[in-house]
Amino acid sequence: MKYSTLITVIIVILNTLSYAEPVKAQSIADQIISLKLKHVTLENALSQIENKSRCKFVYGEYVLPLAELVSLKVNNQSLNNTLVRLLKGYPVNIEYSGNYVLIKPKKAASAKRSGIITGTVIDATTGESLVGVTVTIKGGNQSTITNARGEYSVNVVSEDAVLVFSYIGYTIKEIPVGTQSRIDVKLFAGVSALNQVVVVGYGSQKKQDISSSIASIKPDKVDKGATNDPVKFLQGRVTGVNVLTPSGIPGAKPIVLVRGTGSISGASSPLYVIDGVPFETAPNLNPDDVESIDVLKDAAASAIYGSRANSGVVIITTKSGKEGKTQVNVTAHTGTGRIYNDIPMASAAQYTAVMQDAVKNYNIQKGTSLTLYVPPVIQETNWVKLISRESAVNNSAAIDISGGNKNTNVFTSFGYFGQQGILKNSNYNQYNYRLNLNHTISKYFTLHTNLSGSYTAQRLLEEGNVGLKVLYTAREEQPWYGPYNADGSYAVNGVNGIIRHNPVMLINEEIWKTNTTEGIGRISLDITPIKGLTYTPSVSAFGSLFNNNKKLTDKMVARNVTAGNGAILQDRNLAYRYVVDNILNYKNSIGKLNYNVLAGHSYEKYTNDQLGVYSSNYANAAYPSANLNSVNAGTNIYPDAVSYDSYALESYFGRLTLDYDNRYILNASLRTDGSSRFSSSKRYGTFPSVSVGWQVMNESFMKNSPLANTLSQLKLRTSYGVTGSLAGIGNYANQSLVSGGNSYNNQGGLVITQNAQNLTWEKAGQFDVGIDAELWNGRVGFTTDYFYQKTTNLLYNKPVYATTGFTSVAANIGALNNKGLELSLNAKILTGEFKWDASANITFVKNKLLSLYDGSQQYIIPATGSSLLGGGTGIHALINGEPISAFYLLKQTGIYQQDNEVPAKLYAKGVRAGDIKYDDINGDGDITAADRQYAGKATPDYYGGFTNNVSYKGFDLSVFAQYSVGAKVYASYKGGSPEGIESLGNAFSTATLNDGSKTEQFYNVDAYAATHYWTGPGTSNFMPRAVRGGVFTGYTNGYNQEPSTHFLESGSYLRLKTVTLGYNIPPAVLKRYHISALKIFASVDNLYTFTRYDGYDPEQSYVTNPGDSNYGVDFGLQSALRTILFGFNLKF
Amino acid sequence: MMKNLKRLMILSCLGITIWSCSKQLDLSPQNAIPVSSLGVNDIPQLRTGLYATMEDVLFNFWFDFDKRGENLTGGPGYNVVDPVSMNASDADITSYWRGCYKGINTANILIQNVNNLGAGATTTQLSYKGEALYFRALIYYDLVIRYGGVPILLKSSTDAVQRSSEAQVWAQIKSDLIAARSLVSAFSNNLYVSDQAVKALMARVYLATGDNANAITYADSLINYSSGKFALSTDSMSYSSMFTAGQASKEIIFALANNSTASTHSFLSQVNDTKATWPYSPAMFTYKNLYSDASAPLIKTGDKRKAAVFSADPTRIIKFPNGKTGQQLAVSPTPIATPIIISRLAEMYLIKAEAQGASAGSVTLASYLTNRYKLAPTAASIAALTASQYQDMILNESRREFFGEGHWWYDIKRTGRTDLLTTLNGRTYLLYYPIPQTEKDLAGYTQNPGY
Repeated sequence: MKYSTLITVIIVILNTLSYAEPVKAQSIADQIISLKLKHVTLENALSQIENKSRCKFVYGEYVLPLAELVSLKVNNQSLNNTLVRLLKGYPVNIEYSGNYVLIKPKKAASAKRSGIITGTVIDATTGESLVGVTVTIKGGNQSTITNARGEYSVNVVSEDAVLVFSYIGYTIKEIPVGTQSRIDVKLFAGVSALNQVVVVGYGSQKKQDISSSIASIKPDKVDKGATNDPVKFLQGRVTGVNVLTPSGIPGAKPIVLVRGTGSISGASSPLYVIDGVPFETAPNLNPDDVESIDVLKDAAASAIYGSRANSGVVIITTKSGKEGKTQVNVTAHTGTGRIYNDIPMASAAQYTAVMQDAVKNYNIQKGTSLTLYVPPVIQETNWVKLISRESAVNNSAAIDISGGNKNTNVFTSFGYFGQQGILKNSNYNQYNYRLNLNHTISKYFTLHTNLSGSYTAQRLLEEGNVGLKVLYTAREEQPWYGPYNADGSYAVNGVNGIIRHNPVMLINEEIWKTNTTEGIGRISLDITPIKGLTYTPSVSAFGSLFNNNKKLTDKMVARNVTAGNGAILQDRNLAYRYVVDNILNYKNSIGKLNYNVLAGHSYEKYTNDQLGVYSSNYANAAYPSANLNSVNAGTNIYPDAVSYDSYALESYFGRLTLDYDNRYILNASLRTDGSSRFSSSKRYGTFPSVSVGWQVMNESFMKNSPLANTLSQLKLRTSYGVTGSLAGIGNYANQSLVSGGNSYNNQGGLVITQNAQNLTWEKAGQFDVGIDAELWNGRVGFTTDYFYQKTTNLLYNKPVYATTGFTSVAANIGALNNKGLELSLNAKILTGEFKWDASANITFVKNKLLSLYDGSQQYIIPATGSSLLGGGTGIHALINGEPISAFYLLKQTGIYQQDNEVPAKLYAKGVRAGDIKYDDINGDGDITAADRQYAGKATPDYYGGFTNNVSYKGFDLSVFAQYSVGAKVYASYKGGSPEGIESLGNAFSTATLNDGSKTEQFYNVDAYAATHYWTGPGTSNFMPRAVRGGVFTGYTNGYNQEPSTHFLESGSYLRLKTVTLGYNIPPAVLKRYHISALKIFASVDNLYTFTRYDGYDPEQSYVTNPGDSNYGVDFGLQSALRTILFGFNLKF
Repeated sequence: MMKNLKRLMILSCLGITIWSCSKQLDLSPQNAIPVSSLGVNDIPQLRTGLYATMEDVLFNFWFDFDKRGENLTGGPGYNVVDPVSMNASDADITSYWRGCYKGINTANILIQNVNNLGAGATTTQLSYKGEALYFRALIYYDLVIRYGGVPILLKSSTDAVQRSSEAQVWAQIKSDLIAARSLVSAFSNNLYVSDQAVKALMARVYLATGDNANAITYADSLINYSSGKFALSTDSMSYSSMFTAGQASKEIIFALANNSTASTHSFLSQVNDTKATWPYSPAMFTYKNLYSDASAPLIKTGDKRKAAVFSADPTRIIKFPNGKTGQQLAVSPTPIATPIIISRLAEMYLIKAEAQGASAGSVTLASYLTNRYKLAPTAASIAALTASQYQDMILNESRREFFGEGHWWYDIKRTGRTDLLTTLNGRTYLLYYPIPQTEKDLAGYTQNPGY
C-alpha cells in the first residue's frame, strides 16, 4: 500500500517529535530507578516508570488490566527488577529492544480454548434486562444480540478475546474473556460525551476527534414542549445559535442565526443538510424522526460546505433502525394555549375621553370648533377578543417502528402535528411519513435509503402588511360599535359608521389556505472494496409542491368587488432539487497515527417554477358564483405570480483527519465550488480550512499530575477556515436580461430588466479557539470558544442613482465582523436515586459593519412594504462601526412641558407643550430627518439558556429557561406611522353613518396610552398629548408619530420556556402488558417571561433577515402562546 | 489484492462518468432572454415594452397634482393632511423620480437600438424611434415641471450625470419633439403616438415656456385638423365616455390603453372604489363648488361635465368608472382598463385661448365652452374681462376640465397663482419638488432651495 507523500511527511514529523532522545539499548534493562507507588493504577505506574527511566512501554490492548490499583516501593533497583516485581501477577513476558520495553502476553497452551460464553445484560441502574444489546468479539466479524430476556450466547475461540457490549443510549463496555464461561454485564445509561459521535459534513467523527466548533443536540433528550419544528430545539440549548420565534402564526418558521449576522442581504440563515441533502430553508420534519442536530459553527467545520457556509451549517440526521427486537414507539400530546401577555385596548369610555381631548386640543391650536361625534348607543366591543379564540389547541401524535437483523435495519414513522393560532380560523396541520432502510448486500456493498414525505396544510389570515392586517385593524376599530347591523349583516366601514374594515368579516369571509407537499428521497451505496476504503455514490432528490388558494366569499365587501384582488386566487409553486454525490473515504492507521482521508464530488441543481392565476371580482357578475372553489374558465382570469428560477452548484471537496495517539488531532478540508450564478470564467471559488486539537489529558505527564484526579478530559483546539455565501446573488446575475410580459394593447413586449453584474462570492474567514473539558470523570463538562469572523465582499443590493434605469444593483460592497465568546457548562450534580443534571450556556456576540460601498459611512435602508411598518422612511441604517440591524431614529428625550420650551422653528410647525421632545443633534432648532441617530440594534448582546433535570424514582422534572439581553424591538403596531395604537387622535378618517351623514372618527388606542398621555405640565414625560391630526406641518406621519425611540423598547427577557413533569410507570407493572416503557407527562410551554417589553413577545420580528428594513419590527402579529400539554410516550 | 484493485478501478471509472457534469452550470432563465440575443426582429417588442413602461410611469403620479392642488382629500378610511408639504425623503417623491428615469432609460434603449441600424433602418423602425423621442420628451416635461433642472441622459449610462438647468431641460424637450415629428406618422389610432400627439405636447411645452406664438400654432393645428378626426364632446355622456375603455372618443389625441391584465393601473381603486374604502375623495370645497354656475360679468350655467365627474355621493369621483350603476355615467364594461389620457382636444382650446389673451382668445374659448355648458358665455362677454379675470376664468376652466387628470398643481405653478393654494402659507419653496434624498446622496445632486 502506498501512502501519499503528504501523509508520509506528517507521519515522519510526528514520529520525530515523540521519539526524541533515544538512549542506548543495553543500558535500559539495567537502568537504576527508585520509585514509591501507593494505590495507583497500573497504567499510572507504568507511565511513572516511563518518566523515570526514559524507556517506552509497548503493549497490546487488554494485555494488562491497566485500571487495577497497585502499590510498589523500589529503591535503586534495575528497571528489569522493578518490572518483574510490578508485573509478577500478570501473564506477561518482558522484552527489551532499544529503549522500548515490550510487554507481551505469555503464550500458554491453555490460552487457546473454544467454547460458548453466555450471560445476561442488564441496566446498571434499574436492573431491567436489556433487549437487543449487540455483543461482538473485538476485531472479529462475529456478533449477536441479547434476546427478550437480555440473554446472549457467543462462541469464543481464544482466551484473549474481548467481548464488546453496545446498546444505543448506553456506554459501550468491553470485557476480556479470559477463562470465564459466563459473563453478566451491567450497562450504564448515557454515553460519555467524548465518545459520542458527531455528524460532520459528509461523514461523522467521534467527538474526541473533533477539533472545530460543533454543537449537537439529540431531540429525544430535549423537552419539546409545544414545538413542532426540530430547529427550534436549538434555542437556548447550544451556544452560538440564536433562535427566535418571530410570531405565533401557526406553522411559522423560526429565525436562526449562527454566531451573529454573517451577511446583510438574506444569507444570515444557515444551510440545512438533512440526511445529506442541502436546503436553504429547513423542510418540514417530524421532530420524533430526528436522531441528532449538529450545528457546524466555526468555519473549520463548515468550510466543507464552501460557498453556502458563511452563516453556519445545521446538519439534521434522522434515525435508523437497530439490529434486534422490533421496537414500537408511540408518543402523543394534547394541550391548549393562551395569550400570556395581552395588549389591552381602550374601552369606549376611555376612547371617548382621549378623542374629546384630541379634538379640544386641535380646536385650541387651530381656532376651530370641531366636535367629536359620539354615537347615541354605545355597543362596548372588544374587537380583538371577537376574532380571537379563548384558547388554541395543540396536538401531536407520532408512531415509529424500528428494528432489523444483521443485514437489514429499518426505521419507519408516521407523525401528526396540529396547532391552532389564537386568532380564529388560523391553524396548521402537518403529516409526516418516513422510511429509512439500510441493507448490507455483501461484504462489499451496503445500501442506504431514506424516503420521507410531508404534507402541511395551513389556514392563514391576512395579518401582515400584505393586505387586510386583520389584527392591526381590530385594535384600531372604534370600541363603541359592534360587528353586526340590526339585520345580522356585517357592519361595513364607509357605510355603517365603523372606520376600519370589519375584522370579523375579514377573518370569516376570506378563506386562505396553503398546503405544501414535500418529498425527500436519497439512495446511497457504501462500497468497501478493500478494508478502510469506502466509496459512496449517492443520489438525492427533493420535490415540493406549494399550493396557495385564496377565496373571498361574496360577503367580503372589503375585497370581493375590486378587480385585482380576485374572487379566487390560485398559485402553484413546483420546486425540485437533485444532488449527485460521489465520496471516497479511506481510513487506516500507521502505528499510533489514525488517519482518514475523504475526497468527494457533488453536483446539485435546483429549479423553481411558479404559476398562478386569479379571477376577477363578483361585481357585475365578472365572476360567476361565490360557490365555486377554483378558478373557472371565464372572461376575467388574470395571471398572478409567474416565475422560473434555477441554479446549479458543482463542487469538489476533501478532508484529511489525523489523530496521533489520541493526543494530537488535525483536520483540514478544502472545497471548490462552481456556481451557475457566475460567468464561466470566474465560476469557481475555493474554501480551505484547518483545525488542530490537543487532548492534553492523554499526555503521560498529565496523567501523573495531581490535576488528573479532577480533570478527566481537556482538549485545546484552534481553527481557521474560509467560507462563502452567494445568497445575495441573483440566479442569472451574470447576464443582461430582457424580460417578456410587458404587454401593451394586447401585444407582448420586452423590457431590459437586468444589467449583467460583476459579482463575486461573499467570503468569510473565521478564527476559533476553544477548550473542551471534563471534570471528575464527566461529572462536569465545560466548553468554551472564542471566535472572530470577518466577512468581506459583502453582497448587497447597492443603491444606484435612478438615471441608470435601475434603483439598485447587486454588488460586493464592504466588510463586517462578528466576535464572540461562548461558554457552556453541564453537571451531574446529584447521581444515584435522586438525580439532578443541570446545564447552562451563554453566548456573547458582537457584530460590526466595517465598511460600506464607495467609502460611504452610512446608508439608510429604504423602507419596504407598508409605511405602517416604519413610517415609510426606513428605520434601520447600515453604519460603519455599528451592528447590522442598527436602528436609526429620532431620539425622544422627553415631553415639552410648556409652550415656551418649544424651539421657534418647531412652534411654527405646530409643536406645543405635550409634544415629544426629540434630540436635536444638529442643533438647528428644528427636528428633521437629519436628526436621526443610531439607537441600538435588533440583535442581542448575549443570550443563552439553562436546563435542570431532576429525577427521583419514576418521576422526572425538567425546567428549561432561555434568555436574551441587549436587543431592541421596534413596536410598529403602536405607531411610528400615521396610525398605530398610540396615535392619540393623529389617525382619523371619515365614516358614513347609517343615516348617510359623514363624520370624522378616530382610530382606537391602547388602554395604557389612553390613561397615561400628557394632559398638562408634569403629567407625563413619555406619552405625548392627544391631538387631532392636522396641527403639524412638515411631518409625513404627524410629529409625535415620526419613527423615533418612543416606539423602540428593550427586547431583553428571561423566559421559563418549558417545564415538564413526567412519571415513568414502573417496568414491573408494564411487563405484564409487554410494554417496555411508558411515560406520562404534563408540560407547560412559555410558562413565564420576565421582560419589560409590553408587546406580545420580545422575539417578534416582521422579517427574518437582520439586514432587512423590517427586522426587529413588531407589527403585533398574533402571539406565541402559553401552552399546557398532557402526553405520553409508550415503547413496546 | 489484484481482484480488489480491479474492482476499485471499475468503481472509479463509474465514479468519473457520474462526475463529468461541469457543463451543467450554464443555466438560463426560462422567462427572460439575454440582451445579447436581441435582434432586429425584437425592436417591435421593445417598442411595446416602452408603451407598457410608460403606463407605469404616468399612472404612478396620476393623482399627485390633484392632491397637492387641494382638489382631493382623503377618501373613506384615509386622511390627507397638509397636501402641499413635501420632504426629500418622502417615498412618493422618490418613486416619481425613479419611475421617470426608468422610463427614460427604456426609451433610450429603443432609440439606441434603432440608431444602431444606421441607414438600414426602415420607416417603421424610425417611427418607433420617433415614438421613443416623444416619450422621452414627455417624461422630461413631467420631471422639469416638478423638480426644475434635472439630469439629462440621451443614452443609457451608468455614470452619475449632474442636473442641467431648467432651461436646458426645456430645450431638450423641444429638440426631442422636433426630432420626433419628422419620424412618426400621422394620426390613425389614439392609442399610439402620432404626429398630432407630438404637436399637442409641443403646444403644452411652448405655452409652459412662454412661447405663445408656437403654442397657438401647434394648438391650432389640432383644433383645425382637417381630417375630422378630432372633435369636442358635446354632452355629459360623451364627455364621460372618454374615460371608458375601448371608446374611440374624438376628443382623445393620445392615450395609453391600460388594458393589460398582467399589469393593471386602477383609477377606480384610488377614487371610486366598489369596496368601502379608497384613498382619495373630492375636497369638500371642490365637490360643492367646482361645477357651480357663474353669474355676471360672465354668465355660465349648466356645466355638462358635472354629471360625468360627480354624483350624489360626495366621496366619489365618478369620472373614472367602476362598473356600477350610479357610480359612473358612461357604462364601462371593463372599468379596470380605463385609458391613461395624455392629450385631448379640450386642452388645445385652453392652451390656444390662454396664449392668445382675452381679446383674441375669447372666440377660441367661446367655441369650446359652448360644448361644455348648457348656457355658455358669449365671446363678447369673455372679451370684456380684465386680464386677471381672464386668467381666473382660464384656470377655472382648466380645473373643471381636467379635474382628477393631474393638471391643476402645475397650472397654479405655471401661472404663479399661489393664492389658489390655501395651505401653502407662504412656503413657496414647495413649488419645486425636493430632489429625493437618496438620489441626491448617491449622485451628489444639489438640492432645491428650502429643503
